[in-house]
Amino acid sequence: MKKTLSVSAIENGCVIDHIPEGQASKILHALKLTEGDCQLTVGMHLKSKRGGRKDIIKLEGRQFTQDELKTISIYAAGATVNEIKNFEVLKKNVLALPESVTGLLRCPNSNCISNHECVTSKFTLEQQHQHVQFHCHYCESGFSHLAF
Amino acid sequence: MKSPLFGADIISIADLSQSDILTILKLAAHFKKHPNADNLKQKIIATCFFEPSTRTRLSFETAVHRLAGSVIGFDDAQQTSSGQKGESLRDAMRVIGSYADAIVIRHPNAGAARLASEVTNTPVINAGDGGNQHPSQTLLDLFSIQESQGKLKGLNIALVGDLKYGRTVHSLAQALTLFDARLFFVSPEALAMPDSICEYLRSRGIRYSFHKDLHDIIDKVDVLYMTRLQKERFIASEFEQIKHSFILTPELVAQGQKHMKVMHPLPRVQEIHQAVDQMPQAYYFEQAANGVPTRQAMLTLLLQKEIKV
Repeated sequence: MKKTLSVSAIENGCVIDHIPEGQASKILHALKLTEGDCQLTVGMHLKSKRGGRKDIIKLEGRQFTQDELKTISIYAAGATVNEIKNFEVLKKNVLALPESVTGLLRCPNSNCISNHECVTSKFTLEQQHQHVQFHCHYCESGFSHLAF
Repeated sequence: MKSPLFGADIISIADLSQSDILTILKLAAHFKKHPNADNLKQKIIATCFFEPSTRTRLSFETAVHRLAGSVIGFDDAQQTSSGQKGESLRDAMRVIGSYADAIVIRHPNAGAARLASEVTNTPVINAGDGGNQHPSQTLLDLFSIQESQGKLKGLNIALVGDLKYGRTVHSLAQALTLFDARLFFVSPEALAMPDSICEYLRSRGIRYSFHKDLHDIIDKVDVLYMTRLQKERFIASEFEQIKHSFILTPELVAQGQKHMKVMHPLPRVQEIHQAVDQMPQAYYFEQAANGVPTRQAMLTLLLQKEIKV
């Protein structure tokens, strides 16, 4: 039987695979990927060889910057980022959860000083069981990723 | 004695080690016995109160005066030129930091004191930032607990009232993780201790339990830490139903252990019956008075490299 891909292969660009189910839309939103003109393919709720379901994002014609990879890792620690050249995987990186993120997220606490002064937001991240806990450097509140 | 906190900021109780806290309490005990000294001679302390406070501001200012220091500052930011012109907090703190030797700040926004500490090299003490931290209150609470019980470690402590929104009980619970306390949380379900604090306690192996009535725990605790139950958080009929479970009466106090002490960060409204004031268990006015020596200790440790005691 001929093997077919659920999502078509790309020639040059990158693929984020093994995104936890439901997180692809958040990555698209956070990086504003739908607003660019690069060819974008998104697969959601796909069956994963690791078991369960996963999301996948394929981007034709460009690579992610380090800052973008850090943003992706907030939503999809453990996902793999494959750099593709001529339909071949040139490089494969597994995204680790960063210890902290600076300037990427807005504090969900409306009373936090970072929402009232010109301040660069800072969060420390901690893996707690199945979810990631974000701690604001300023107001010291803790949030799950759902708060952002 | 060499100060371990010379030149530092005191923003959050979580920034202090157990050793730092014990040093502050030791020096506070000294100032309680010897209140007048000259440790802050020729030092200027700026008290910047962007929202009103009675006890905290006056006890900080008393602490400075008792140690021969001087106070500058304000207690109504809207009346200052800076506030009226809409100056940013970071600019205001940078300028005030260049005038004073230490800044004491209270601000309605959480994280304001942390931001202040980042824009000036002058030591900053957080005197309350929104719903976040109030470390000087926590330190005077710890001092009062130690003073009244003769120890800090291994005590049974009940936190009672509004445990959801009260920053005082959050900071105190965090600090008590350093002293192996057994905690009892007594509150209506809607005002229970937040999950984030419970997770913090769990990760540090602290034992705690939830209760809906003071009667359940009154005979088990060494310290009963009451907080204000704000009527406006309930509908009137609901408040009438639950209030008897959280209001401390002389009869209830009499059911407690003889050495039990009742504390409260004040102001109280109706959660402690006035007749309790006359009982030997009542410790809240002594606790409020302890604000002065505790703040004397904090200021001295930030501003004196070598402390003669």
